[in-house]
Amino acid sequence: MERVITSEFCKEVGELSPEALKLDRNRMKFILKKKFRNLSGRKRLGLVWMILDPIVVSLVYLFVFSVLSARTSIVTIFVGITLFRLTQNSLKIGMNSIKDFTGGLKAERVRTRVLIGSMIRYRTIDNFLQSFGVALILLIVFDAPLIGIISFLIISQLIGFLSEGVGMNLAPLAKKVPDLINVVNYVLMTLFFASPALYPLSATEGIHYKLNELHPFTYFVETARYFLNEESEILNLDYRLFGFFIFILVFSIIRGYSIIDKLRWRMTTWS
Amino acid sequence: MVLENSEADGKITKSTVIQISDFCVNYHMFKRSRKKPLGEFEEFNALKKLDININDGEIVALLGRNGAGKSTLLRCIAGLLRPSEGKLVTKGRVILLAGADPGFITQLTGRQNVIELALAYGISENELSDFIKSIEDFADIGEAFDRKLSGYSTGMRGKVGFGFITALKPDILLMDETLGVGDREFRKKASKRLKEFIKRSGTVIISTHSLGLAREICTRGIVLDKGGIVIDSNADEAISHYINMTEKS
Repeated sequence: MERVITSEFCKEVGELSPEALKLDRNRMKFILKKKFRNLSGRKRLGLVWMILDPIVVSLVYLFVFSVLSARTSIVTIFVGITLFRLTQNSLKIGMNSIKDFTGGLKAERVRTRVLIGSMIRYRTIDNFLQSFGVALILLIVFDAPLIGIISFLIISQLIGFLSEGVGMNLAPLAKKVPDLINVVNYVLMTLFFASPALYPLSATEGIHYKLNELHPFTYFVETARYFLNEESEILNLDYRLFGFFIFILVFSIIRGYSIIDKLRWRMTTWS
Repeated sequence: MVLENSEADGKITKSTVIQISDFCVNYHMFKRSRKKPLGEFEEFNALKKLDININDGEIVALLGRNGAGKSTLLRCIAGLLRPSEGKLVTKGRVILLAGADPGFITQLTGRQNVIELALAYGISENELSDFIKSIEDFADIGEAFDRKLSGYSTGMRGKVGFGFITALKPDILLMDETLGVGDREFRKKASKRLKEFIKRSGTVIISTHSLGLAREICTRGIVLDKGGIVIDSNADEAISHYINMTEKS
């Protein structure tokens, strides 16, 4: 295996042997397990918390809303909160993605394809775990239609990947200007209450409605609610704008994953 | 395991496994600035225009004061640090022994760590049981090998880590002052294992302040100072030069 290192790249020459491909697969498994182990730590319930978390938070807001006598559907809250938390977590993980490019293996360089492979696998499992519990409750307790449940799970995957993509694009800037992390936290906090996470879009009016029309999250959450036979404004929203958001988000995720190699290399000398 | 067709430069031979040319490394340090609200990067030149060729089977001592650029050079060869200029080509598997942590997971036991890490470092399932035994015997920490790593002392962790890395089989081994862990008895044992490891590895570069070790096992010596090469010669000559250099200052 010949490795060529310049200021532009660190790459291996030639095709990878079957042994090298097997090693990469083992490394992906190792990195993935390590990530989930770090998440579960010494917690007795381990990864079950990832399933429980959106359910518990939704129940808390449900309680708050019942105290306030607000008329909001339980399914609407469950869907909105789960998707928003997924957006929030994935965005933050994307922004932190450049913190460690060793994959936890300190004695040898890990190929970038291993890091990207483990990131994609992690995102898929994380998206699934965070939406699975709620999907099950919607199906069993609220008798939600199967097409709605499937759409909800697919939208969870989409929103998770797209948010991580946006986060990865912000990551280099956040590394240079760490204050950006605080700004993003405040923006997310504001959006949680301002966007249709806790209530349907139809509950908003005037400038609030107009602003939400410009927020990509609105389109995903309203689509999920539509397929779950909940109150939804998706048919009244501009589908061209939705298409534009999808295009931008897909572009950002492709760019996010494709710059990892370059970014990883550039950042080794930053301190 | 050798670079082909590289005789264009007189010094480069067919058996060259590390080829470094016009190699510079700049670190970029973030600095607050009144003029630029987002701050700016200040550059620090750590390695300056290095040209080194290392052949298969050579054992090279990398000598120099603290901050001379030894660790930076090793990290570059390992593919962990980006140069600002120049080119570096390595042939074969490169392992960097810096500290004694190959990537432990504290929630797992010593044995579980060895199993998971072994697969991630390319040990096949057929070799696994011998690999584990070799580390268990070397670390010699008794039943603690089956206890969670979070309960280990620094010395115990170092023994397992050192045992692990020295059980691997690299083509190019880079070592950055690693015998600092453990008690006196362990260091003696570690020194013996290290020599066996070096024998087994194709090419070795050792960054060390231990001149005795360098004289005993190295065939070549390179002295670095302020990021540049002061001397590149046989081990004895390089060590003498280094001693003179440090005694003068």
